[in-house]
Order: sequence, then C-alpha cells, then structure tokens
Amino acid sequence: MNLAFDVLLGIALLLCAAGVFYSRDLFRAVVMFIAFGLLLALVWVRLDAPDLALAEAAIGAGLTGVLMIDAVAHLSAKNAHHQGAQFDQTGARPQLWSRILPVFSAVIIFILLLGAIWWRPDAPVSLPDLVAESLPESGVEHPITAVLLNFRSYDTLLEIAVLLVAVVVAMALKPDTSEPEAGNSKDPILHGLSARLVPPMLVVGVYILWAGSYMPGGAFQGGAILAAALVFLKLAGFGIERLADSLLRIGLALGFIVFLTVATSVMIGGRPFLTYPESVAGELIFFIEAMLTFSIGLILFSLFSQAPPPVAPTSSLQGEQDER
Amino acid sequence: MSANLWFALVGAGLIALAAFTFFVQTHLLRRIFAFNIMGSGVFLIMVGMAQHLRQTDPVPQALVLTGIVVAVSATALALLIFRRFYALSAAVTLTQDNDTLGDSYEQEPRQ
Repeated sequence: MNLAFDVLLGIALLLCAAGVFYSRDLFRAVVMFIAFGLLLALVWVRLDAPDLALAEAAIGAGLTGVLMIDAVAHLSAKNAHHQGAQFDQTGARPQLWSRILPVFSAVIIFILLLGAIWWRPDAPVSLPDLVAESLPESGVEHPITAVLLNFRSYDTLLEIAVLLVAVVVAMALKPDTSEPEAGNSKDPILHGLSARLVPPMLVVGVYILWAGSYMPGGAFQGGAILAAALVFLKLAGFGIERLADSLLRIGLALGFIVFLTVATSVMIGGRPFLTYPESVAGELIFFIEAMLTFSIGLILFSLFSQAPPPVAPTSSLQGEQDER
Repeated sequence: MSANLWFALVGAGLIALAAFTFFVQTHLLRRIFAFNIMGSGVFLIMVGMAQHLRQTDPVPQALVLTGIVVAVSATALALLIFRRFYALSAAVTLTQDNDTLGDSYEQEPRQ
C-alpha cells in the first residue's frame, strides 16, 4: 500500500516537473510548480522529514509560487505571444546535432547519478547516533534544531548572511521610482480577509518558532509564515513597507547581527567561536531563533516587495483593469 | 526497494529532466524554474541516500532546510534580475540569434 503510494507520488512529481517545463502557457507552468512544491512536501513526510515538509509547503510552494506568479503577471499582457514553450527550433529547421546533444547530455547525467546512488560509499560514522549522543548538551530537544543552531550553526550563520546579501542586491536593483505604485488596489474583500487572517498567521508563526525547540518547527518555517502574512498585507493594499522604511532596514540585518554578536561574545569567556555555554544554550538558541524568524520574515517579504512595479499601463493585469 | 532509495532515484530523474530543459528552453523564466526543480532533485538525493537502509538522519535534513531557504532567496534574486533585464530590453531570452535580439532592442526601453 505504502509502496504503491510512493511510486505514484514519485511519478506525479516527475509529471509535474515536466508540466512546469513544457506546458504551453507560463501561468500554467507556475500553477504546476506550486503543485510540484506541495507534492514534494508530501514526499518529505514520506521520508520522515516533517520539518522539510513544513518548509517546502510554506517556502517552496507558497512563497516561490507568489514570486513566480508576480513575475509572470509582469510579463503576461505585454508579451502574450512570447509565452508558449520556446524551443530553439521554433523558427528554422533545427540542426540534428542541436537536438541530439541535449538528450545525450541529460541521459549521461542521469546515468552518472544512478551510478553515484548505486555505488555509494559506506558512511564512516553514523551521524544520527552522534547527534542523539550529544543532544542533551545542545540545549534543545529537537535534533534538527540542534543541528541547525548548535552543531552546524556555521551553516545557519552563513545562510542568514546569504539572505541578507540577496536582499541588499534586490534593493540595489530596484529602479528609482518615487511615484506610488499602481498595483496598490483597495480590494475590500482582500482587505477584510487579510485583516482577519493576519493575526492567526502571526500566532501560528510564533507557535512554530516556539515548537521548534522540542518538535518539528523552527525559525525558517516561522519566518516563512511571517513573510506570507506580510505579503498578504501588501497585496491587500496596506503600504507597510513605506510606513517604516528605516525600521525595515534594521530588521533585515537584526538576525545576522544578533547571531554574530552571540557567536563572537562567547569568545570573551575563552570558548571557541559559535559554541554556547551549556547552562544557557537553550535560552541563547531560542533568542537567536526569535531574531532569525523576524529577519527571515522581513527578508523574504522584501524580496517580494522590492520587485519593480509595473511601469507601462499595459504591463500588468492590474493596469488592464484600471483602464476599463 | 525502500522509499528512501526510490525518492533518491526520482531526484536523479528530476535533475536530468531539469538539465535537459536548461539546454533546450531559451525562455529565461523556464530556466529559472528548471534551476529550482534541479535544486529539489538534489535535496531528494541528499536526504534519500543518507537515510537509505539507515535510520532517519537529522543532519542532511537540517542541511536541506538551509538549502530550501537559500534556494528561495536565489530564485527571488534571479526573478528580480530577470524583471530588470526585461524592463530594459523587453526580451525574455538570451539567444545570440541576430534577428530576435535585433527585434527586441529596437523597441523603446520601458522606463
């Protein structure tokens, strides 16, 4: 029974990916992408990784989907004839070579990967046992949070740095438009709905952050939900990012700065970089996680809100509606 | 065959499919999609292989969690750069083909 479900799930995943790549219409491709993300979340559940399922559903399917729909809507009205699946061979007859070579390379990649999976080396140490052994010293009870914020906190520190760099580049790329953007609709239904939805979303985000110390959940999933709430507010026409521009900039960097400060301040006590004193490890991890949640939410939201507003009146669906 | 091995194989299939798309599709948005799905395939292989015939392993899961968040920021950045490129050139591809490039650059920059 489970085997049949797994096989169907894997095939559906591959079909969704094919749909993303080769459906005629870009909007349909994005919808397939969101379906792909939700199926992948199910796969993570099957692989015994509920943390990844949470993150995939909130970030991979939800937030990436919003970003992609936004980008496609940006294109759609202006460039309708360009949307179909584009191959090199749409115009002239293709060279035989240019058709065979991609197939050949893809098959080679697949065979090499199969070989790598089949003849994999045995692991010299058992990581799960090591993690379980040192879990009591980490200050949290959930092994994944322990790995993320204690055993391998380097990764998380550099990750928040990567996010910060991405959002700084996004801000630098933003065209210098001073006029208020046209997409700020005051849809009453969306307005009312988001006014009721956002408070529960914030509560769920904080709960997931709190739950991360003893069960699946944590800073990334909580941050993604916070970002989703902010995206909701923006779509409903609350101009939040204009209300508090300087505050937003501080918030973006807060997670990284706090993490780095904690990481270096333990060196005063003679401990190595990024290790926590065992007695306060749990509290420190929760403090860092709370700051990270806040920053990740703001960063993911900013990556959405920094997108250049549609300039020409015909360049977005919104503009089309305004003209009528 | 365990579920872990099977999903690692599906991950390999996704990577190959995405690589093929990368070669044949010229539309930049499709390439961004392909990049994203290729990343998902890598994540599946990482977790699936680490857990095959062994117990649940929190280390690759934590690494993949980091990877998912970095992937979304990379995607967002790629989409922003694409939109900027589109706003400046009105083109959705990077083809070297002279006629398509010529067409797109003749249009007025949309600023």
